[in-house]
Amino acid sequence: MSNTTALKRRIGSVKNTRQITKAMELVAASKMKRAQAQAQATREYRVSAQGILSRLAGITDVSNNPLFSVRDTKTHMVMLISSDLGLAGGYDANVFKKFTAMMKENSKHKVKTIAVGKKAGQFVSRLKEVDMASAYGMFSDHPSPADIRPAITDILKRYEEGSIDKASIIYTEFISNLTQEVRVIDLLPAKVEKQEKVSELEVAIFEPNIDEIVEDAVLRLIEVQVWQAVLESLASEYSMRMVAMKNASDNAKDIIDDLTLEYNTARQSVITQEIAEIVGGAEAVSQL
Amino acid sequence: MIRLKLIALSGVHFDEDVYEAMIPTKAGEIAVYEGHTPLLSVAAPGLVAIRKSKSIKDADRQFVAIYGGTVEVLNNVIQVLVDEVDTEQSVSVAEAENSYKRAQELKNKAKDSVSLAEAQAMIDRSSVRLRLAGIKKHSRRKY
Repeated sequence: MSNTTALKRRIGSVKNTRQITKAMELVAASKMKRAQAQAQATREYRVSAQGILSRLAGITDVSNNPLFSVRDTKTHMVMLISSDLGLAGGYDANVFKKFTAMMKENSKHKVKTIAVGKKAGQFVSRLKEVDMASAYGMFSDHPSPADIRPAITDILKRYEEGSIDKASIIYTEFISNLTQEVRVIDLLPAKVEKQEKVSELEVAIFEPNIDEIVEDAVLRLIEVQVWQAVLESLASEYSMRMVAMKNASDNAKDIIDDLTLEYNTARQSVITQEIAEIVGGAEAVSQL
Repeated sequence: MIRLKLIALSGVHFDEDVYEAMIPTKAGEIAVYEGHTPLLSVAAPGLVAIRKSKSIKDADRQFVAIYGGTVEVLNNVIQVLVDEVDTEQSVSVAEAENSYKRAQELKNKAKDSVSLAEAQAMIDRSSVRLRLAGIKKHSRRKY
């Protein structure tokens, strides 16, 4: 008897777990859609900023701007984008793997990090050779461009001071619901593809002056790159969490099926035994 | 007609053909009509006034608040890359007044030049919002 009760209890608890993982799967799915839509909406901004800057590069020497100046890399600033919470499959591990590989590749210069997401903060604080410049929580479920501004201001200030010579972001690009890939993009020194001279711009008016416009445009390009990286990462995180939770729900279902089978077998054998006892008892009485 | 595009990080907020667009820039307000010379400029916080057709009166123009941006006029397209956009529908008079007051208080309390500059930026932003809210209040148009 005790065997069936224990089995029944276990089935109940697995069912509860499955309900939770199922709910988490649905929540992740809806959050993923939102992050994806937001990432899509920034695309136009990025294209325009890049377009303006490359047209500007065609008519003026943008390397006058300090943000374009290429220096020998002594200190490399890396922004790691991870999650606050676990249960998202290999999401954080993939980012950290890329970071470790990058550190091994160029072990000559110092590395400073900006950790975004609690997991990255925890990971970096364990590494002795890496200097953590600052750590942020992953921006909430409704991130706004204002959230990333402190980090960008920090990077720009350090770059202008000369305390860092290069800045990159490691983030997870959202390719499809099933594929996400860890990518590295270099933020600073800023790069721009020079476009052929747009003849109309030769007669263009520049107000107040061309240098200030370059400065404004390059800041916008940097901002949109960081913002897009954050949104792509968010979409990837939710999508990986969704898959992880779907697997968990499927596993829970298998366990429930197995346990139910076991429970039914145990219940049946109890019944069979009871019948055998009754029959045996009746036989004994009739022979008296 | 000239194409006006207001592009923010959160998406494209305006993408229509207009008759005239008045854009606040660091070097003063500029009015852009069809066939404008190529121009690149840095926008200042202020109101973009949009006249969709020639017959629309000054008071009936559409106003959109921007808080700085990059402006490019090329091939009959105005592109304005902005941080964020507020429309007449999205601001409320009371909120704008409150945030203006708060910014003013911050400025009075500011001790060093950094916080003073920040407070001034906040005042600039909220005064733009306030102007937009004021237009909404006095406008006879229905929303």
